[in-house]
Amino acid sequence: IAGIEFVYEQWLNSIDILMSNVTNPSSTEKLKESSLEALGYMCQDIISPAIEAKANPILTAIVHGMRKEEPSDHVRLAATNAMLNALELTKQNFENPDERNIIMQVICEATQAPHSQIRVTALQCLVKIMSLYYNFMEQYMLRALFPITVEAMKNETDEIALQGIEFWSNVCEEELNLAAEAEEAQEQGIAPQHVSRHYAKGALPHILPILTQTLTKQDEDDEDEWIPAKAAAVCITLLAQCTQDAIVEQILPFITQHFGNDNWHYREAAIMAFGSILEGPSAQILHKLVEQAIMPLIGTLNDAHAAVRDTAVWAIGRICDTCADLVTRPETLQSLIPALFTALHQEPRVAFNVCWAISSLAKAAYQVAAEQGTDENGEPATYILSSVFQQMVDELIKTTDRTDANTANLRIAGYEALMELIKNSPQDCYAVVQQTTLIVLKKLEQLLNIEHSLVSASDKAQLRDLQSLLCATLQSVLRKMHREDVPAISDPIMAGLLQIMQRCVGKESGGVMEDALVAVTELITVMGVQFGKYMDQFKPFLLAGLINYEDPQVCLAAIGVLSDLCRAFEGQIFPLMDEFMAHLLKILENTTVKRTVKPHALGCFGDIAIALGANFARYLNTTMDWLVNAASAAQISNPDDIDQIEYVELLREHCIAGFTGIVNALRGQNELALLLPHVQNMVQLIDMVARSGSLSSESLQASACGLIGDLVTSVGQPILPIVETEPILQMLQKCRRSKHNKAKTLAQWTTREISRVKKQV
Amino acid sequence: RFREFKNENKEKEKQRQRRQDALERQKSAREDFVLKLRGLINSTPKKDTSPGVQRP
Repeated sequence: IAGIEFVYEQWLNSIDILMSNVTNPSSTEKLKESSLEALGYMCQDIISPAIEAKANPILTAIVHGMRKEEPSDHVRLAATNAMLNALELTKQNFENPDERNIIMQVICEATQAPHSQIRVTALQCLVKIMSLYYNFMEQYMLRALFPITVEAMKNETDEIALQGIEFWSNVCEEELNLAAEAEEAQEQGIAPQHVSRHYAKGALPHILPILTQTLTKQDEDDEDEWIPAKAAAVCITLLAQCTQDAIVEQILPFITQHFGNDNWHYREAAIMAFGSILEGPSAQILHKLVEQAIMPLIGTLNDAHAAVRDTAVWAIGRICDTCADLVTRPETLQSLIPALFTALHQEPRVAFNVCWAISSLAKAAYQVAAEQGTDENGEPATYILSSVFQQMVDELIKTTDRTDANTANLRIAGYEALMELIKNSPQDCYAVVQQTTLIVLKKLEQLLNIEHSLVSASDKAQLRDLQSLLCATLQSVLRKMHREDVPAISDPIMAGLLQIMQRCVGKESGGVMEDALVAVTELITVMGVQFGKYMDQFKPFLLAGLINYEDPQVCLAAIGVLSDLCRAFEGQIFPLMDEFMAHLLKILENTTVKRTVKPHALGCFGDIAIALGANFARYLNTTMDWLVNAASAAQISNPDDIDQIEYVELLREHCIAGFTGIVNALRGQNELALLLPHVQNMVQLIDMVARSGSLSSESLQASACGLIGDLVTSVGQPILPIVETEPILQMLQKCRRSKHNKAKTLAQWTTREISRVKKQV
Repeated sequence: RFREFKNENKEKEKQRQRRQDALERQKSAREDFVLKLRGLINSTPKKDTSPGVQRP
């Protein structure tokens, strides 16, 4: 009820009543507890300036309930929960040192309460405070936060230890953000707004031994439980990113000492510690470390204990991500590849990580080969995995056929790896890619045949994920396929995709429809106008996608397909266009369509215009009305509202794409008269982008520069006075000096066009 | 962090990323198409934008 009332600034006295329920000595324990719970729910659920204005009475009640003198654990726990929910509202109180001290004091005292749930919740408050109010924490760190959280990390109660670890993970995340902010500020030559106090680096020697010890407390079986050992691994990963080289020498003794320990808990912990520090330290140090470790690590893929093999193969996957050149050495691969193939037949949890390691290895090998040189499509001629490529594909397909492949997401991981292999394949693996396409198509057919026999919701969900993945695999294959080879396989591909789309009609498809549409897009891109033979069958699905307002992603994908069809068919799409255009206009008119979809429809006008050329005149006035209205509505009224800025950016980007297409379509002398009445509106949008300064992305400014060039080229001299204004010239100058190719190329071209037109006098 | 660890929504995240990539490719195809019209590039747009592959 408060959620409804507070928006209208009504019923705010309910907070005062709840507060006095808590502070009144004659209130019963139950009344105090219930009142605090109510306040907690209000703080959790209601986002309104009205409740922020009531932060003081809320805090008074909460602090009163949290005091160590409070005899009831129920009341104290309800108050601590409410504090956790109220922290976002207390910004002003945290800025006031006296009030901040009181809040910190009651929370720190609550971390020592005898009742363990109160301690856990109070620790959660500290975790959250570290994120919300990092810059106020200096005075509390050494005397309170550090000793409290270090003790918590050592606690035997998992829930308490988890919060202690979470605190330091949060410190690392905050300091990583601050490091990024400092780097950005340095690039811009300004001082950062907030600075890091490097608490993680300072605490490292004290918390790392606790964390490594915690790593050894793994559970034998339960892989899904969140336990301190797993939280410790995540915390070490973040500490490595945050403290970089500093962590290496401190953690190395633990790794070397326990790598060959008889106790599997220690062996696994040592490998986990090693795998966790592979991102952060400098390349030089990492290289040395990995060079020593890689062969022994491959050896542990034969370990007697599954958890050790599981972690070892995960660590190898991480090495592939971070040390591509090292892992792709022939002497390493000679041992690694057979070991991975063997591990692929082990427990699903191990095989899952092998799939991931193979993906990373393929990416690493491709990257190394591409650095040596590529063809005009960016593909290297060969790579180090070429000789085993076929075998890798075969092994992965066998994995997806395992009877236990539905455990631990193994089947999905197998297809993911297959997709990465195809995506990262050089020219000499092309024949295998072609064969794989046929296998994938067969799989798709099998899946479509078993669909009706599945009963359980989980089986159906897994099948949908698999269909999505197979569509994605087809996308990868099509992107690799040579244009001349596509007609040989396009019929079965399209037949499979049409079947999938048919089965999605009228039900929640869990994203399958969208993936199928994206796969169609790839087919259109590679087939060009030859895709026309499928249009009769495909058009109903495309039209259905364009009016699927309930699933914005499908609607968006359908608009994307239409854009690609325009590029592929060019003028030949004209006979179909009345129907498509009517659907696009309905998207814009409909008030229930998600607002992020509409800009894409506006951008699509540009693709249609380019395809139709002078024939676009038929749609000019209607589309211009929509574009001009949208462009004038694309205003930033609140520079602090990130959502608004993002939406305005999206809208402007697509309006510019729409205008750009139209200007390019109506370039002929006969069409110039049609264009002229709209020029002023287009320049207005360009001017708005220019005036928005850094609130407009460089990419948007570059597109705006391109549109100026198009207008200058088409209209000539008469347009110069309205485009040679201070903000627009400044934007052109900024883009000319940009580090990004797109901005630079477009701004330079536009400047040349302006000079050329000037000289034409 | 627990959810991240459990890989909850990991597949959804990858799916989202694939779709985002598809949108990016479409955006890039549109830009390349217009660049061609402006005479700023001659070749057809490249098909693959795999990581590590630099655009000319």
